Amino acid sequence: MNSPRYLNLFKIALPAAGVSSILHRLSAVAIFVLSLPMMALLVFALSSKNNYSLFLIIYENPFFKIIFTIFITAIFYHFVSGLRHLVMDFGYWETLRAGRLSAISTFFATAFFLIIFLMLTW
Amino acid sequence: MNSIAANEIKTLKLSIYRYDPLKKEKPYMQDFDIDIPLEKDLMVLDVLMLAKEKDPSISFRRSCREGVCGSDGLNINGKNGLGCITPLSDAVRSNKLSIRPLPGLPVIKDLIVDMKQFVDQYKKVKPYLITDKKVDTREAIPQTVQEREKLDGLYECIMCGCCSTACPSFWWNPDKFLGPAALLQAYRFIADSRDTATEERLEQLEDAFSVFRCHGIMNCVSVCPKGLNPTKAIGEIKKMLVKRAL
Repeated sequence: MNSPRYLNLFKIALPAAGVSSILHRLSAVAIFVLSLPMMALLVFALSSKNNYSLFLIIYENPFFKIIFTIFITAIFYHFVSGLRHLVMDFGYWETLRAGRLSAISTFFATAFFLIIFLMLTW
Repeated sequence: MNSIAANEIKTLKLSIYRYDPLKKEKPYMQDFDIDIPLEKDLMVLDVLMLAKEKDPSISFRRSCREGVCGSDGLNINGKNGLGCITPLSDAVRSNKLSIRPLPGLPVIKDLIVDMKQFVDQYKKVKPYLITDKKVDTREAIPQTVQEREKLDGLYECIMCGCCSTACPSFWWNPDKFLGPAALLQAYRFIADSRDTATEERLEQLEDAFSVFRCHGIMNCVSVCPKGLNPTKAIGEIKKMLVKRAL
């Protein structure tokens, strides 16, 4: 019998920087999955006046709006978190305190962006 | 007076990960009620010793009981740390304490893990001084104060394994990614003015996994019982590798 390994991800504590990193990856997955359909929809909407009118009907669908909001928020979060990683690559924010503060800042920046985005689009 | 009055004791809900390779059963959590004297802030290791008095079959490593040997690395209420220097006041939440083995490594019995993967990665970085100069081993190799200061925060590692076993990159690639402990040691010798094998050391680290699987999530810094910063050391190695490639 192979030895077990303890690895319960729901029981292991993660610091804010760890949560930030996981969200960075999840946002990348969301961007990867949704980019192609969103680009296709953009091409469709811009191809004729009728198609644009049809796109507006799709856009007003709450389900589509939720998906669109997730897509845009994921892009914003991935961008901000990526900037944070770039700063760290240059040798800054590498202390535990700075890492925690910069991670929490990306959460707040994304939450602020999301609120503004929701106010403008919903 | 040796006896402790009942109002000076609180009962701690302790939960310990149990696994016995000789019994054909999956790992499980065993619960204990442990009486703790209120006037003392016991360490997690003390509580394990009290639990062992109730059930002598509980297995865990310990030796120096003062954070020097690095034997009792454990996952304490979700966070890696040394049982001997983690006080209950820091670890206990809602009067509950859960103790599990270090994550990701094969469990031998209860809280004892097989550290082979960790040690194998440590060996790879050649954690010893390499010099091509003729050295009289009876004499010290002199360093300036500034050169010596560069090693502060690097040489103090006690190899408890708390950092590497808190790192998701090490969980998924324990044979390819060296892990924070080994990389801290790699940089400790790269930064050492007496070591002349910097080029060889960097060449050995120049692949997609050894160093670059670190994504700077700082779990290692968060759990290091000695307060060291492997993320910073890894960042320095990355910068040297990039400079070398340009």
